[in-house]
Amino acid sequence: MNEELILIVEDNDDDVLMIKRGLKKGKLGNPVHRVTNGAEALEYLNNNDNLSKTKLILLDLNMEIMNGFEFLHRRLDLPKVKNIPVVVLTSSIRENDIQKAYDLGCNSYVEKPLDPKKFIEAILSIENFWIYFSRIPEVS
Amino acid sequence: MKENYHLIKRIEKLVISLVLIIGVIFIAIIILKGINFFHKKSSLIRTRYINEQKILLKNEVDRIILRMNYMNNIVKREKIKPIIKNFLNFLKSYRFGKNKNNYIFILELLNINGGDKFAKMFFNPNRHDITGKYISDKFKDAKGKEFRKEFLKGLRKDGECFVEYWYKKIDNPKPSPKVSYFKLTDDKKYIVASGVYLDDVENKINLLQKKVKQDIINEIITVIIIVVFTVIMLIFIFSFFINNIKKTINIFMELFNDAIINNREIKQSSIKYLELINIIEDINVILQEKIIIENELKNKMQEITNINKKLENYSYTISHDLKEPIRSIRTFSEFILEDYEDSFDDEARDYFSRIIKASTKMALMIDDLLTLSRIGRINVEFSLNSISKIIENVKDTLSQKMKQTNTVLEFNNLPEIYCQKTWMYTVFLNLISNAIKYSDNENTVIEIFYDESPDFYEFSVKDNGKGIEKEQFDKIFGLFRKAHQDKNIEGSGAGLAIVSSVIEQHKGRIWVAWSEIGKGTIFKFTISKNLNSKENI
Repeated sequence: MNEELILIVEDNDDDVLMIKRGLKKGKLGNPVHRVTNGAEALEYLNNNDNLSKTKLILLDLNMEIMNGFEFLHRRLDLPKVKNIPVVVLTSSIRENDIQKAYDLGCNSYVEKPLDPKKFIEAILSIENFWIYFSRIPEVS
Repeated sequence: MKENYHLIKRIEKLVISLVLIIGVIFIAIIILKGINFFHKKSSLIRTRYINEQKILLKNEVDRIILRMNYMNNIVKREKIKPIIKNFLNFLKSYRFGKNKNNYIFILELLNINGGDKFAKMFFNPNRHDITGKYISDKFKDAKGKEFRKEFLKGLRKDGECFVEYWYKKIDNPKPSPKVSYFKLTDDKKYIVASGVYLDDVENKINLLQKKVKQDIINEIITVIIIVVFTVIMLIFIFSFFINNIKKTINIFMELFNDAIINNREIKQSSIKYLELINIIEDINVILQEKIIIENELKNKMQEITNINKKLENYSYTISHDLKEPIRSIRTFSEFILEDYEDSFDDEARDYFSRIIKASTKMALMIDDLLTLSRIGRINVEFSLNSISKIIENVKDTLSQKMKQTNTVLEFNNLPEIYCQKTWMYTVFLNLISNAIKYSDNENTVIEIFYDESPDFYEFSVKDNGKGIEKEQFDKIFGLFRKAHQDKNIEGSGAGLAIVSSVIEQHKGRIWVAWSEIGKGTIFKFTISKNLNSKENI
């Protein structure tokens, strides 16, 4: 059983469906856990078990209770959470938002494509890059 | 045209020339007065001298007359004849005057009323030749004057008379001016006379005149020196005064500029002119109002900026939130088609594809609305960009479409201009992709030309496409308008609205310069040449 889990922080059920459909098309078959805001994500990662199996966080920016920026901000103080790569997946292309997200230490910033085919492609390439390549053993 | 000038400089010129003119006039008057005075003085000298001479003559003649009258009383007694001889001998050698060259002559009067033989020359020490001869009153002197008639007339009236006339000298046959005194003896039998030549006098008068002339010239020079000195002093004092005004005005201008630039009241203590102090007070009132108004304006501008920011946020959020459900509609429609394609008949599949197309179009429209709302609101920095490079970029972006549609894009010699690169890219992208989209020609040719006027760059984009109907020329630049309501052609219809907006931002305009159905279209647009500074729009 592949224990490399992808944490989806997203309040829009539709988007979660699309992300899941994309991941399903991939060959890796990583398990997925979904939370609806930053606070829930932090709570989930507070558990050591959860923390150790989470290999990637897909983060939305616009969320109630705790948005993506605040999650990124809190993450800066949590060394263990900081080790997990975060890909911001959002429909905002405001330069301010992009700049802010990178300043707060996100690893990648991806706009949700309008075209479903491209959306699926984006999800697959995120998964490929952040899960598959990270699995390749380092060449000594 | 109205000519502007420096008030102070003009006053300076005016006053200096006035002072100089007055000085010159003054000097001229002094010189004229001097000349006039000289003439008066000269004639006075002359008259006085002649009068002196006349008194001398009169005295001498009177003395002789006195003796003759005395002798006349005793000559009646025969014994005294030698006394007369003695007297005549005395007269022969008698000379008087400064140079001892005046003499006495005596006429024996025959007819006091005149006539050819009115008298006999009784005695003349210089004219022995005419002694004893008759003389006529018709005799004229060198100037044609019958001077004898004149002295006879005087003798008849007063018994004595001065007459001026011209008469030759002993040693010089040329006549000279002369004044003579004639007087009758008591028995009215003799006329005793004596004369003096005035040209001798003239030399003396000349000498005197020279002296007077020198005196007058000295006086004139003194007066001129005083006048010149006064003029220089006046100009000096005036320049000092004018410089003071100039300085004050400069101080005033500096204070004024400082007040205007720094938006504060004029505070001063160095200006003493009441007129300027009054102006400063007025300016201060205006400045206070200006400061209040500007502060108000600043607040209002801040408010507007805030509102704009809010509005941008608002429209961003709206479009962002609107896009989410549209994306869902489209995505899940496609998922249904993908997953359950076999369960649907053609009609259902058509409906789904319509849902997909409509939602796609709506998403595009929202994107364009977002772009449009941003064009007018962000701070734009214009920089120097090569239009050729921008079009190359457009060509790269559209390369696939161009290949598919067999499109040729021609341009050369396009300038480098001040513009906003991304927006300018949007302009050419829209115009060129429109030309490709609306072409039913198998070989689409798009040409870009360039021209220049003093204030604008002018670009033309020409195609050989479908063309646009005349009544559409203006409408196509409106929001969500399309020249061709062809459902098969993609696009939100906001492209030309965006283009028009960008060009407005570049202080230019866009219009359809030419279009014919089935032949093609020329779009023309201008970009201002005065964009090389940062501007807030």
